[in-house]
Amino acid sequence: MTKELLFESMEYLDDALLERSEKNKDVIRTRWGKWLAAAACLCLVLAGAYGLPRLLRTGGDPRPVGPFPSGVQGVPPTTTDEDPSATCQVAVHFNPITQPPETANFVALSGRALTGEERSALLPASPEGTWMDDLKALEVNSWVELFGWGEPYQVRLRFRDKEGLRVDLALRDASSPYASYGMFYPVTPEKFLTTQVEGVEVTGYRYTFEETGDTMLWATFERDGVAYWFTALGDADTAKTVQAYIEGMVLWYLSYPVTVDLGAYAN
Amino acid sequence: MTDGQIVALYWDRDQRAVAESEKAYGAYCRTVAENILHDREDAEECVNDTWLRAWDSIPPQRPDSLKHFLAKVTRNLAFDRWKAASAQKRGGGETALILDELAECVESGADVEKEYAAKELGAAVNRFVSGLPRREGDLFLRRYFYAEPVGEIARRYDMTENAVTTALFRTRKKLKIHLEQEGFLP
Repeated sequence: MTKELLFESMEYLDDALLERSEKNKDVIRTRWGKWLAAAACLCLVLAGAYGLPRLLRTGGDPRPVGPFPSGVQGVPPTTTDEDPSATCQVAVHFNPITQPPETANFVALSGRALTGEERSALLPASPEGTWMDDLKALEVNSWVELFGWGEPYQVRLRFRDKEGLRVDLALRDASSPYASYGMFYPVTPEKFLTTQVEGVEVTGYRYTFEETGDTMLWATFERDGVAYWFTALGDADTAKTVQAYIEGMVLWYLSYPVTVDLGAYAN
Repeated sequence: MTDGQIVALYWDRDQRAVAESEKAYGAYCRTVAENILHDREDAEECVNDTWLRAWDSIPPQRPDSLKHFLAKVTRNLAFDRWKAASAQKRGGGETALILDELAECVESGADVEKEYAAKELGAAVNRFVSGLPRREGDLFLRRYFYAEPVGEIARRYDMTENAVTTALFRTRKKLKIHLEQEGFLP
């Protein structure tokens, strides 16, 4: 077989597939789309002014509150090995850009717990002397989040220590067009982490909310087509510990990237 | 004029069929040809050949989608021209790059190379693309059917060129596995 033959063989592709690639609505997702997204974010920020303090006072529970539609039924158990039927509604994300329009810009995500094997694949093996040693003392929940129409959106690992301090790692397809907007206050970000490993630059940010002194921390980087998002909520007393967790995890996953094929998680 | 009406003109051997095809799909076919040939004059000649080929093929054919029928004819003719030009060292550029990318999907460590019919292989590729998530499949088609430059695809989907390149790289790796599983590669 030659590369020329492979190129020529595409003459036999279905017309419907070609038609679909031409009808992609993303084609017109240009500057107007971005402005619409920005406007939508502004609405969300305003909504967050109502919802976020409640969110933080509930101990960092990520479930949407306030004006957001919510069908959240809780986080699934650690793996489906424990409960094979584990499913849940894990979040409702605001998505101003993408379809389907009948959902009026709110895209409900459903989820399921990962199997033990799936979860292990996302936890690189740990030599002694790293933060991963602490994993033995950490509770790890893991699940995949799917859009309402069944397409996987991201896989999430939730690490929680004995004190209940929590760091989430969400793994997404870096090329995914889908935007996810959390409930952010319009605060000035403060850098807490700047590092570079093998050419990948990472910056971590800390937002401190004036009203409560609570903190939101996040760091992100892309590698091999996978976007890594580390996020955590903490109060003034726990921020440093949570920050140390994030720093450790960032460095660990930079050194030991995982393979994520979101398509493999489809229902 | 609808596709059905234009096809009817071909069947009636009415020469307005060519003018109507040009009117409806001339620009589209020129883009397909230019993506492969990167030469406006060659692309223009190629599109003229497309109308001739369509005239010779319809009837007996009655394409469901005239647009894609013409696109496929144009693509074939353009690629033939590109290969001829390439043999005379006038080829190269983006199309050569696309072929080099596809080479990753057909490289095999085995000594024995088996030849396959394009139709058989095309059916396998069709199954592969059909099974991909929509966006991934679309990116693949824009690059390897329409021969669009990565920058153009990035603009089309509002992605960075790097993200497009990465996504295509991953899809090619999957295609290679698919072709192995279907027995096209040892």
